[in-house]
Amino acid sequence: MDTITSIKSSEIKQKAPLRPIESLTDMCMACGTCSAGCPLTGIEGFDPRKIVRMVLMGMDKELIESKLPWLCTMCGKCEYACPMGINIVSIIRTARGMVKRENVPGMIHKGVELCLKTGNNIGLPKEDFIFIIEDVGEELAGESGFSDFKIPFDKNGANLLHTLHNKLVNTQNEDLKHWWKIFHIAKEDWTIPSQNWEGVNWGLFSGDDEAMKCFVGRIVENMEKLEIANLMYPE
Amino acid sequence: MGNKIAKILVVGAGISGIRAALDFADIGYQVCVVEKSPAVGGILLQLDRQFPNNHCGMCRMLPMIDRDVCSQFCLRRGLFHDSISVHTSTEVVSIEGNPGQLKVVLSRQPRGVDSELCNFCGKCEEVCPVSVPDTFNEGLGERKAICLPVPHQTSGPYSIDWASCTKCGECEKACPTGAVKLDNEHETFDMEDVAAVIIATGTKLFNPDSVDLYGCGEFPNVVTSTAFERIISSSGPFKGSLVRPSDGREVKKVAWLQCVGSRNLMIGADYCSSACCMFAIKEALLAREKMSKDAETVIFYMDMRTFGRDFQRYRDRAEKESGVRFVRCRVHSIEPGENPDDLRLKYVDSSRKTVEEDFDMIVLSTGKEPGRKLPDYASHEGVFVADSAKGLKDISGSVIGAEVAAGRASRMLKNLGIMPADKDKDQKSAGQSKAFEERPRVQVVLCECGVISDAGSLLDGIESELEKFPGRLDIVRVKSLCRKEGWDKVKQIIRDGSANRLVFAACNKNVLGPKIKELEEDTEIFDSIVESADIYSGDERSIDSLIKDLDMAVSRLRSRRALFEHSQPVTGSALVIGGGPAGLSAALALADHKIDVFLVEKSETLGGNLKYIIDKELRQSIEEILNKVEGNPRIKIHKEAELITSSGISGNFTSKIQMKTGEQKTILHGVTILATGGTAAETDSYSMDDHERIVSLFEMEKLVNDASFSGQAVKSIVMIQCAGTREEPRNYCSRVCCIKSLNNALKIKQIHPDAEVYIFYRDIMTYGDSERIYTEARKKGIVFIPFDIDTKPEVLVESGGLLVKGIDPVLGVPVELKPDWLSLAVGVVPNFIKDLVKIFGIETTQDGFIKEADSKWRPVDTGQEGIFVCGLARAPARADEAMKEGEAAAQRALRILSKNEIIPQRLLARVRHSICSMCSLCIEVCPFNARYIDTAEGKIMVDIASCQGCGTCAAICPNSATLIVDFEDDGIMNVIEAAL
Repeated sequence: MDTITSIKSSEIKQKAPLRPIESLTDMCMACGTCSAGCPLTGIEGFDPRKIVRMVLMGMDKELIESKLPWLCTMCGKCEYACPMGINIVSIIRTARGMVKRENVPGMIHKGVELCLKTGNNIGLPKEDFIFIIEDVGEELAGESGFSDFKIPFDKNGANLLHTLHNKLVNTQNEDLKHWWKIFHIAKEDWTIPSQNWEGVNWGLFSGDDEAMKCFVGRIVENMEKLEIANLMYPE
Repeated sequence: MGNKIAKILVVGAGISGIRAALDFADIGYQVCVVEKSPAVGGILLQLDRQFPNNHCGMCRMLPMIDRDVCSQFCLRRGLFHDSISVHTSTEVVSIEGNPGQLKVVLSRQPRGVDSELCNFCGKCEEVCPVSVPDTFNEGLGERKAICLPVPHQTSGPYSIDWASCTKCGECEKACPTGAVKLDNEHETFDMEDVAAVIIATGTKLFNPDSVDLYGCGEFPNVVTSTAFERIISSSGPFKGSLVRPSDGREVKKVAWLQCVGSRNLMIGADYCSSACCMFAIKEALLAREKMSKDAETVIFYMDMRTFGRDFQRYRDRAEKESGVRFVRCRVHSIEPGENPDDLRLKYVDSSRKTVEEDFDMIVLSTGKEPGRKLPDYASHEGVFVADSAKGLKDISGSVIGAEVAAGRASRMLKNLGIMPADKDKDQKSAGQSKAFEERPRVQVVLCECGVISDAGSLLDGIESELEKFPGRLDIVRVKSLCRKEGWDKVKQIIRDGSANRLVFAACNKNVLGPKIKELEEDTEIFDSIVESADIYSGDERSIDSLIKDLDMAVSRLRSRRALFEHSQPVTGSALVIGGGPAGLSAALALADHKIDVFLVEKSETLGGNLKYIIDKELRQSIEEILNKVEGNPRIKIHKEAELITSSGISGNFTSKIQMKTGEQKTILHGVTILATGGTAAETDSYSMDDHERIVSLFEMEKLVNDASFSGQAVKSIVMIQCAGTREEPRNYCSRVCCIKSLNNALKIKQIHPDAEVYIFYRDIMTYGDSERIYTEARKKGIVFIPFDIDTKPEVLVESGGLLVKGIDPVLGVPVELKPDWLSLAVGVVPNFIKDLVKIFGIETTQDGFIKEADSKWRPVDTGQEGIFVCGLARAPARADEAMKEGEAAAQRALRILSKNEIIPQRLLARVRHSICSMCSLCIEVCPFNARYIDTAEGKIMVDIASCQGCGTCAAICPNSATLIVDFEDDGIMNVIEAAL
């Protein structure tokens, strides 16, 4: 970080939603509560108080270009105890949203793009998805006590819409069965959407508000179309 | 309204309530104190020792002139004053009527124990089957449902905690005197013709149980600061050893967390509780006294608010000499530590490193409880609210606030024509009783007791021994002295007999105390010719030792003599030196009490620092007083005048002032109030003199409030706090700078919203509600950069411009600013008054402030009775605070000025002039400055208003020319003889 010579106006400060109370970042007393509570403080230079201070000083550029925003787990422990009620988590998420998309770490932004295009973060075509799910469903039906198990796709008027974490569809298929066993024994009236089934919102994670809204909208759309009141979201 | 004794009601019997009650009693009013809890004393009951000397000192509030009307022992054990009645477990329901004739409805919860009958035997407590957490000890340890609410207050009776009492009746059965009554119906009663009411209800402390971050209730070794006081108290649950509540293990490492419940917008606490910082430092120091050398004490804080005159040096001593560690970090939460019952704190240190540390015990510095409101009747006309009922105050703040409230009430009464009893109070002087002129005839009253079964045989033994005593001794037995029947009989015996001295052989002395007072009204017997011996309480004692007690009592009575000291006349006028805010308000307060005041001002105008004050409201309030002073016929103003000599004693001073013209004038006055003020300090730190745009915060204030400021191009302004202050040689906080700088900064933002304002600070001292100004300043985008004494910012004057270099400690990044203006918080210094100090023989601090008699308990008295101090002359203060101190000083002065003469008290030093060699040793050693040389008479004299009868003079006098009445050599020898 360079020498501070003046305070710049901060876009992050203006954009970040205020919560839990109407406290601006400027209200920070640099008391250290957040730093003391954060499980990550000290790891790779992370410190929530530093992030708040950077925003207060208008050092948006430095923050956005650092990896600090991506280290946060968004657990909210800092915000919970902040005596000034500063929106620390919102600040960090807003900073993430202002990072150039090509600089979003790992495959997160790629996942967002795939999801926008295909309805899931791994770009799985509908027929492949149905094949995998039915295959796992048949395996479960082979277990004793589940002979009558069937995957209910797109069932109109079901009680519960079941979205899926892409990881479970992609590699950890076995874990799907735990859910389904519970549903089956509890005689839950559930269904899986054949389209837009993604249960992880990487738009939320990467600070991409537009994408986030789109993903949420798709789920709402599914629920309205199938007339379902309850949602199971595994994120 | 005639001349009947006007009655004052004081609500609340904490520090403020007691102070206000004593203030009224001191000037002749009858006072009734009501207290919600079952005991008198408030929070101080739980706190053994206070800053700055780490001793107790509540007794310093006791009357020092009219001492005979008030018991002279520890106030934490109770308040016993002839003019003050106390109702505990009582609350105000409503107040109606007009000032002077208020009707107050009160509601009392019965204590369950009749105070007339209880003899403190404790049998009820023994049999009570209900044990509950001990509230007096903050839940540490247990107590019974019937108990002494304050263990060291053995003067109040036992009391039932109705919330935990099951009404099983065991105590009722066990009580030998029938004092227990299991009836808890509230009773309502009226008090008519109340002249005025003082609300001194105090502030409740924040309960940290509601915060789930500190593990209260879950971790037994997390305690509040009040609980910590109980732990280290010798009357506490651990008898004063510093051990952990969980396992009784010695504490080796303890931490204090500041601002628990304060400075927290999430719980609506946008204030600083003012007292907790000093409280924590004091606790850390007390802890260190009890801990081993290698033990650790750590205080976690945001700003260490050491804003009182001597606070910063106290903090520095704690850090440098006593090894208290200070860590600037607010801790998030408390987690379990590695070993069982240990506690872990995680924090970020000054080098931004994360540290995890385990502690044996953690103390939560809990402040004021948020959101507490005053009752509706507080705004009724004739009701005055003491400051401590509005927010948490430290002890001196409570004392001053109570005196202000009492003063305002008594001014109102004076205005309404309501007077205390009589200026010449009918003070029956115990010392001058006729009894002393006669040969001592001692009456011994033996209580036959209605309870103890073998009392008869005990008394037979005693009586046969007493008969062997030399000299005449009348002996009589009375059944149940503690009951009305018994007491009536005593009165009869005294009226019928010829005894002029009285000895009681009964039980606990406290049972008889209030009854002896009754005797004064009904007979010629005064408490100074009464002695008592406890023959029933405690472990079984031999007749021999009981007889020794009685022999000592008889010897004491036989050696008592009459006082021959004459009363001292009082000149009913006052001299106020200094016409600033403090002096003006003192002068007006006295004039409103129909006292003549001489106001002497060195300069050509009154108002003092008023000329620098810009805040509109504050200006108005000072100008209002100024106008009243100038228009008041009782106040003689002498401008451009200086005091050149002053002599005399309290109540009777002669001073000479000299005008600019050289003309001299002699003034006779009863008291002197020093309000000599202070002024902006000068400093050469931060290149103060090197550039015209480096200004003091006072100049900055003028600048930003000038109409031309809006026309200036202002892009950036830097302020540096504590410029030349809070470090030696000027190591004190000036109290006014932070608030003033913040107000300046807000003004700049208001006029130039785009200007950047930076404030470099060490600790922001926005105590009390002024915290809101700090909050507002941050909200407006003012940037605060903390620094330590070792990381001060640097100011450079470069090519005509300013460069301020510092470091942002949060980011660890250099800060380099080129401000248009640099404002330095230079602080304040007292005015130079070396001549006055010499004239009055008073003490000053190393910084030149006038020292008060006791910084906590007698904040506006000097060590010299009759001379008072207020405002900046005493300590840094805001103008509004200085004015309050002026009122408080006036109230203290009224103790003297409300009398026509000062009457000698029983316990006094006396000089036998015939053998006095005038060596003056007594003058040097007297801690109360009560000795002086009467040059006209050529004698060493005792100022009876100042003398407390301590006896230091008698001890030092090389030829026994000094003696203390009642402690003369022959009497003492006789008592010792009796004891052997």
